[in-house]
This record gives sequence, C-alpha cells and structure tokens, in this order.
Amino acid sequence: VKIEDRVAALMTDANPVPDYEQIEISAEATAYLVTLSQRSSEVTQLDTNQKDQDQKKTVRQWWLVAAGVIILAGVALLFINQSGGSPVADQPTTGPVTFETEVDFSDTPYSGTFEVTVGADVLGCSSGTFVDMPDGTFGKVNKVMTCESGSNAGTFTIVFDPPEGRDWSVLESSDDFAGLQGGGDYSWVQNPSMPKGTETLTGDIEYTS
Amino acid sequence: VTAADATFVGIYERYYRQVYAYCRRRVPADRVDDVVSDVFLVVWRRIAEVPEGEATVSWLYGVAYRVLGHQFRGWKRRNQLERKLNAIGVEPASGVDLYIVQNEELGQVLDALGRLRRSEQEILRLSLWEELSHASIASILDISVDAAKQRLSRARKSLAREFENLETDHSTPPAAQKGGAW
Repeated sequence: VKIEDRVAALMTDANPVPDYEQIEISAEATAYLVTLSQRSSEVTQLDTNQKDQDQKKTVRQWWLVAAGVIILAGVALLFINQSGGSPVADQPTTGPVTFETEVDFSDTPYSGTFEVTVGADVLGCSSGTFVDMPDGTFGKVNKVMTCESGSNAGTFTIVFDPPEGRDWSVLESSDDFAGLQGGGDYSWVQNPSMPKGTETLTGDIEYTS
Repeated sequence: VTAADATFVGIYERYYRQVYAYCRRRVPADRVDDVVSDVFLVVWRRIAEVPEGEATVSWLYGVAYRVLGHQFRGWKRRNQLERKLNAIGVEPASGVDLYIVQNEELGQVLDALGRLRRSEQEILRLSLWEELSHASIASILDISVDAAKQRLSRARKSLAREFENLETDHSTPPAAQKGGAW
C-alpha cells in the first residue's frame, strides 16, 4: 500500500463526524425559520442604521469641509488685506506728487482742469477739475479739486498764496480722499496771449488713517 | 407560508445534518451552531439561487466554506486576544475544543493535516470526509475539475510527507490547530 493511500485512509478514519445521519436537528424547521426571519430583520435593521449613520456622517463631513473652506477663505482674505493684496491696499499711502493745472482767468471764480503727472497712484486720482475760491484770509486761495478720473472719488482742497507764495498744503479732504495730507512747492506761468495760465504743484502727500 | 419558506424548510430538513457535519469537521464544537446558523441565514436570504438536485449540497458546502472563511478571520483575532489573556493569567471564557483521539496514528494524521496549507486541508476534507466527487469539489472551490484533481493529488502527497516527518521526529510539537485547523 502506498504511503499516500495509507495516510488518506487514516485521515478518513479520523473523521470527527463519520456519520452525519446521527446528528440531531436542534430546532424544527418552522421554528428555525421564525428565528431566521428575526435575525434577518435585525441584520437589515443594522444595515439600515449603518446606512443612516453613514449618511449622517457624510453630511457632517461635508459641513466640516464647507466650514473649513469658509475659514480658510476668511483667513486668506484677512491675509490679503493685511499684506496689501486688495486694490485699495495696493495703493501706496505716501509718496511724491505733481499737479499740472490749466487755469482760466476769464471769469471768476477762476477754474480749470488738472492732471496728476506724478503720484497718481498715491493720490488715487489722475485728473479732474478745480475751482479757486477765496480763503477768507487775504490773498490766499482755496483750490477745491474734484477728481474725475482715478480709483478715488470726491474732493480735496489745497490752500496756497498766489502769486508770491511758494508753497501749498492740503487744507481739507473728504470722501475717498479723507485723511489726505501733504504739501510742497507752487509755481505758475501765465500765457501772455490768452487769459490762461498753468500751475505746477510739486511735493509729497500721504494718507493718514 | 410562502413558496420560498416551503423551499427553505425542505432544504433545512434534508441538508441540516450534512451542513452541521461539514462545519463540525472544521471548527470546535462550541462554535458550530453559530456557523450553521449563519449558513442557513444565507440560504434563506438567497433561496431563489439555491440549485436543485445533486448540486444543492455542493452549493451549501460552498456557502459554508465562505462563511467559515469569514468567521475564521474573527476567530483568529479572538485567539490572539485569548493568548494575551493567558499570558497574564486570565482564563478565556471557553477553551479551544480539541478532538479526543484515542488512536495515536489518527492523532498524528490530524497533526499532519494541521501543518498543510488551508487550501490543501480543505480539499482533503472535501474528498475524504465529505466524500465528494472531483466535480463537486471543483464547484465548491470554484475551480476546474482538472485543477481539483491536481490539487487533491498534491494535497495527498503533502499529507503523507508531513505524516512521515512526524513519525521520524516525535520531538516536534504537534500543530497548534489540531482538528479545527482553519
């Protein structure tokens, strides 16, 4: 007898349940069926509960993700604002400036137009109109300037003392120009053939909070 | 009683003993009822898929084979926990059932069986204990008949080799998974 056959025969003899017909059925089939139905319901209920929990978990996760995104966006905006990332914050708050004006002396109050040839980004205005109004102090003039082109809108007033005066300063400001301060040198040239003249105001300005 | 319930009752009454024996040949006695219950739960929920005739028992063994495979993983974790509890002096709730084998040779062949791969153990049990044909074994293990023949032949040789090794080396401790060697 081959060793394989002998060992196989031994294994057959070692069968723990050589005759399954001797096994007794522990429960009647119909009773077992009831038990299985209950078990199946429990399993189904467990499955359903698990699905509900999974769904709630998914919703919670989405809320957490949304909250996280909002918080990150807020932090990013805060960072951008603090680091000067916004258009307003991109604008420098101090720097040199030059105004070139064209004044019409044909009627009072004198008026005209101006261009900001240097420092338009600091001021937030590149051109506009103005009206020269008496300051109330003898000889001094308040040049009320209205911005018509630029990121800022509103008016600011410069005071100077023509024609002998050599300096100018910001007297007051409002709207987007609130907090504007500065001053510098003033000069003017009259056009001999026409009732007009040109002014040049150079200096430095800054926005104070 | 629905037609499905009637079918289930018929299967249960006719095949319960064979399913129980199949499970008892593979797991300790205190775990057999749970496994059999799970097998028939699967049968009840998939009653429409149960084949008729001679294929029924193979289908049931196939279900039991997969249920055991699933439960074995849980038991493996539990046994690891029991070993840890034993290491610190805590007795587990129930000990591992071992077959009481009076004949030394029968004990030795079970030891040899426990040293084989699980797939070899299973094909030997299906052939020698369930006394199934190659075709039925192939159906349960989801392989071709030729593959079943080849695997069974190799498993018989492996069993003989391990048996001989045990005969020549009595100092080797027996396999830990004596009997219920899943």
